[in-house]
Amino acid sequence: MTTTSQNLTSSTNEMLGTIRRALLDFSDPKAMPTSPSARDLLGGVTEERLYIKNVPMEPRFPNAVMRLITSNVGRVQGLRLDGSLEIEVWGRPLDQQGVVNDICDRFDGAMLTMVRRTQGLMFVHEFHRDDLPPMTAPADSETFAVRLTYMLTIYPQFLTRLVG
Amino acid sequence: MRMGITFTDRFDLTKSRLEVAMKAALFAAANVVRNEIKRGLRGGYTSGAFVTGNSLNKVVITEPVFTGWRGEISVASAQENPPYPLYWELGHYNIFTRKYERVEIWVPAFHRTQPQAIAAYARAFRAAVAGGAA
Repeated sequence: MTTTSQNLTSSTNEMLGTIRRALLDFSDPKAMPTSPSARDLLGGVTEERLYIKNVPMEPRFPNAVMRLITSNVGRVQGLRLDGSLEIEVWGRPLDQQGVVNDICDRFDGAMLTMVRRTQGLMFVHEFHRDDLPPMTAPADSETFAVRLTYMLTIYPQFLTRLVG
Repeated sequence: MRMGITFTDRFDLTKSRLEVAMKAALFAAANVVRNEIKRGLRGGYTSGAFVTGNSLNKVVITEPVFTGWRGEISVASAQENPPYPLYWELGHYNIFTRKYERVEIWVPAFHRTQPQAIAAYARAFRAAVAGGAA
């Protein structure tokens, strides 16, 4: 299922919002109708514990924190951004490993099918997933995390609308 | 009349000189990155209240590794058991501040110093080749 919402790369904030919505909204069309979305697994609509960098004090688990780093090295007259989307999915206590893996699977599905081709272009071309090492004090040793990294190619509308 | 042409094979000398130059250049580039990381670590990872100097003093440069003509060198933290810098750089839930903490110093320092590191590499390489360091 390809998400085709509009007007999604008109600013960096829009891009972040677009990606966050895609991650939370994704549901696998081949899965059981009752299969929960990432939003369901992250506290439902009332909580939506997928944070953009700023995590509130003492959050509930599982939760996830995302950030987007972009660079522009002048490809295609400077219209193309290379993006790295990093998401850490955190669980606590350790028996949340199963639900954390399920959230990661939803996120992978969302990123695989997220192609924005109206009013800008944004797609993912590379995925990485790995566990953060177990941590001890000053880190909370009952927490654990899976780190997801997605490499994106973006032709954002806030640049492309300046030409042509 | 007789004319002679003499050929002296200096391939081994050239090769060893290039290897020395590459090694010196890699160290020079890594040193730029290490200095920037250490500058960033001076104040510690948060308010500076927990600075002990361990993170700062344990930023090391590894020996270069060569695979054919491809050379690789790393700037790394020798602080292990536990690897505090790793926690801060990747993020963690801190039992003292009771919140998610993440302060990145290493990766931004690496990106920030790319032009200077490349320039340092070129300078050191030229100097080693021209100076006959072999």
